[in-house]
Amino acid sequence: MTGTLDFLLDNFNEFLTYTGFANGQVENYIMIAVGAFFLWLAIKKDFEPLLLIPIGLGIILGNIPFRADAGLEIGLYEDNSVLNIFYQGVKQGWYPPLVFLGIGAMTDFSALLSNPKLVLVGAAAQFGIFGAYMVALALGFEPNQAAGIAIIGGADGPTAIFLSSKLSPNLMGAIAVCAYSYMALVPVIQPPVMRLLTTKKERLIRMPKPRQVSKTEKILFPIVGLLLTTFIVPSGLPLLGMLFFGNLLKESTKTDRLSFTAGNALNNIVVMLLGLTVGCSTQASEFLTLNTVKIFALGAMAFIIATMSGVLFVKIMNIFLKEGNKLNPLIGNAGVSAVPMAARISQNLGLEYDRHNYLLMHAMGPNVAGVIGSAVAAGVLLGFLG
Amino acid sequence: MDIDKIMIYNQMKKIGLLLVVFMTSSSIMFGQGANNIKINEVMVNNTDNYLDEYGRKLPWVELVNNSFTTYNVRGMFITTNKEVLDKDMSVPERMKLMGQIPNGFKESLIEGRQHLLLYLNSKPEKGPRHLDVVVDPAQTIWIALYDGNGKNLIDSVTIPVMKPNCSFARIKDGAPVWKIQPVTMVTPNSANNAGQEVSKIENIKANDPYGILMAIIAMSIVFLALVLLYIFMKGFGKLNMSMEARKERTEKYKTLIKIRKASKKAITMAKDGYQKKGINKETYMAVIAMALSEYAQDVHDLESGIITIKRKNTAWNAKQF
Repeated sequence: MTGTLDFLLDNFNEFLTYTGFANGQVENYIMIAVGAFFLWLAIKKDFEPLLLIPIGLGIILGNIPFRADAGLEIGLYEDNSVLNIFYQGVKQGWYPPLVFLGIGAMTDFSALLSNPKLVLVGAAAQFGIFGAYMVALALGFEPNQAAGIAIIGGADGPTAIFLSSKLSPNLMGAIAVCAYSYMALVPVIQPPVMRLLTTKKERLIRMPKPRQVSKTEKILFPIVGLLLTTFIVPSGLPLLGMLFFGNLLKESTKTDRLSFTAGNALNNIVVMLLGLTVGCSTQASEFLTLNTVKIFALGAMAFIIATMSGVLFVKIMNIFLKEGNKLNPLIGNAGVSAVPMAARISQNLGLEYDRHNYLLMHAMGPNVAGVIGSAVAAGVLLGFLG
Repeated sequence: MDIDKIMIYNQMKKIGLLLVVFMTSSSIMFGQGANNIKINEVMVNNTDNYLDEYGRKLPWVELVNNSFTTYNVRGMFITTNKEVLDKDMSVPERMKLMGQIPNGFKESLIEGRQHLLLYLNSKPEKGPRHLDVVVDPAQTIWIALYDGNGKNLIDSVTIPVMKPNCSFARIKDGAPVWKIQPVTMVTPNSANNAGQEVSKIENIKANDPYGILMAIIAMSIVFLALVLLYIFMKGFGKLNMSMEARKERTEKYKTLIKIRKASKKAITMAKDGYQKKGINKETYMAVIAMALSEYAQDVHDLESGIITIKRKNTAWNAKQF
């Protein structure tokens, strides 16, 4: 009888050593609290729930403590675990191009085609990336790490994950969470900068109605866009190739089923897995470091610089544009590629000063140009540092 | 020719076109596959380096498959004899001056980004990797790789005279730049870019510690790519708009012609009705104006113009009910 009791007790004690309570450390609880905060932001405050719910729950999931030496093959970084298999999509850079395929299939480039000069605003806003790169170098990061961090300024989660997985895989978790967090915080970060850099008169500028774009233009754009950008920056091929492929599926109007799948089911599946595994990758031991604090500070700065460059570039363009053709500088912020959040901010701010000035369609031009611009910038950095 | 024959003919035409496209693209792809095989590293003076399976120190040439797919190099030729550059030379004559990579050994199937090492100054009887290609380390050597037909030059390089056990190698697998590698940097059967990545980062750190040059260059490239897109969109947009305007003008012109013709006809009819049938002039004018207006705006109904009324007995109107 005593032997049986001892056996039961031993097994029970052994079981207890496997529980999260026995293995939990303060860092785990801090990260779980961070995950819960993300969920609160997403559900209660409606901050980009499609991104923050998978990431928030992923953070909690990745920080559930367990006995690492038990060989249960459950951890994200353990070979052959289910989470590890999902994580390969992030680590090997498969998910970002698939997300770009979905973005391409959902994006209408008409706004850009009707007013092509807006593409330059998308190019100017990429200075956020390179401004942050210089500051990151000054803070002591290696050039490849600095590039991985700086790409946050492109305001494009998939691009940030793609580049950091190639250049600075050890910082990828922090970079990805930072990029997505700031994308969710675009409505908080951008408006003060936009107000600061524009006068009331500039905010009231009404832009001419965009012209109607023909079907031929829409079909040719992804083909020519792909050729032009990838011939210059072949290292951006995975992202740009999938973006333009998705767009061609949409615009050809012959592959509605494929376009619908790419923009809906496939995109949703990839976003779920991407968000969850990125969240999981923020394990306390990797995430709670001084570097993470620096990355968050640099990320915020990159966003601010990108917004400033976009707005200031529009103001410079206005010097050369004729009266009646001038651009409202409030669309300059949309040069970052947070689609369509940044364009919505231009619209909301425009309406705040003139309730009949609808800037959304105009802001979508630099916004989609920003998607191309950030992918090109990532390709350039990969080409130089990869 | 009946309709069925025309349809079959059209289908055959489509299939023929597809076959031509398929065959053209296949041959291009085949060509691209062969062109991905490169001479990657050569050692002509081997006194204390790589040993063959008999323990001999032979000159060697390393091939690399620079693509990501597997390619079989069996039947390809290696030569150091420049006479093969004579285009008039017949294929059998060429083949006598070259060493052929034999069939029937599995290493000839080079996987993507992998290498194959072949021994020179040897005899094919020694093994499939031994080629009867002569090299003299005391002289500058031209070495070339030819396709299996013995005519298509795939790759060639001129090797300078080097110290013993040094190799002449591409700085990175498949890269266009070649460099004499010292004894310690010789990499038979492995990638040429060992240590390259570290030096790349180090190089950037040394030459651009603040990232200013990188920012300028990278921003210029981003702008260049997007400016080209701008030029395309602007140019094509203008072209498209002018074509649309032209099309619209042509349509308008055609409509005008139609209206004129219709007007003439209408005037004749109106005169006829007014004079012979005593129809009110104002009524005519209103009807004609409305008809012309609807015709010009293309708002009239599309009608076949044929009305067919046939008597048909159905159950509900049958006489017995």
